[in-house]
Amino acid sequence: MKVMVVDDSSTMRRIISNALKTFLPDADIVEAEDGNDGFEKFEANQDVELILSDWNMPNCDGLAFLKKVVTTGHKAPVIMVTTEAEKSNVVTAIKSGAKNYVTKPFTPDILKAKISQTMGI
Amino acid sequence: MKVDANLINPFIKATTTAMEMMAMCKPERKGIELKKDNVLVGDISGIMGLSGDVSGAIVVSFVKETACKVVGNMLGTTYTEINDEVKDGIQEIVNLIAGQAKTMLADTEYHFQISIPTCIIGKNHQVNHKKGVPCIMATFELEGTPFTVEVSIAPKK
Repeated sequence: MKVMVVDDSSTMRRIISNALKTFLPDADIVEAEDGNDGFEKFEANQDVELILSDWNMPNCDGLAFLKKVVTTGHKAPVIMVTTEAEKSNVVTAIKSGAKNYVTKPFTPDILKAKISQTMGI
Repeated sequence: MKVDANLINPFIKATTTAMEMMAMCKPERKGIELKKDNVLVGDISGIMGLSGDVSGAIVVSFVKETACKVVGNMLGTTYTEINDEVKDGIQEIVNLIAGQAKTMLADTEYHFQISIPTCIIGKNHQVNHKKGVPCIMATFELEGTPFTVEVSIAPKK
């Protein structure tokens, strides 16, 4: 399964990638450092099956990135992984097309549960 | 300006939660004080500006050994020096703390927006908080080494 991880923090990208490898050992992980980089890599990796995106990022934030991905009609679900835990933000993200929401900080088990719930695996 | 000591509590709770969930370590809170100078206790400090209905900043400061330990735990590796990975990890720690505190303060006069985190490195480095806005400092200890969380925040008039 190809998974895209979009986060401006290299630390967080590694934490998420490390967690993914514990329950999706064959995952092919594509990393991007902001929404612009993420959309470029999304266009170049149309076989992506899951996208995990931060919200607060420079240049192009996660909400703008989410909207761009949704506009393409691509079927890969987007899960927001963010410190933005206020209810209004969660509602905004879901209304904009996010399929699930993980608030930072999180444990690998929380991430796994949200991905399983989203992907039905 | 009057100091609302309760303001620090969300940041203290957020610090403990972030450390426990992401760095698998349990810091012990040692004290709270009103800070009187601009010097940071650590070798590296993560900083995040707070804006929106307030102006201010949060600064989390670590000595080298603690910074390396915390980021090493987050990534399942070992660091002995402050490199780009440790810098990024400390920026992520301040992001995690500020983000949680933001949620806890969402329905108060201290509701704020967060910026992109940065960090400063060096012995006895300083951060000048906004003039006239008190800075509350919480001191924690992790495996015998202190680190601090400073919060300087005031509602906009």
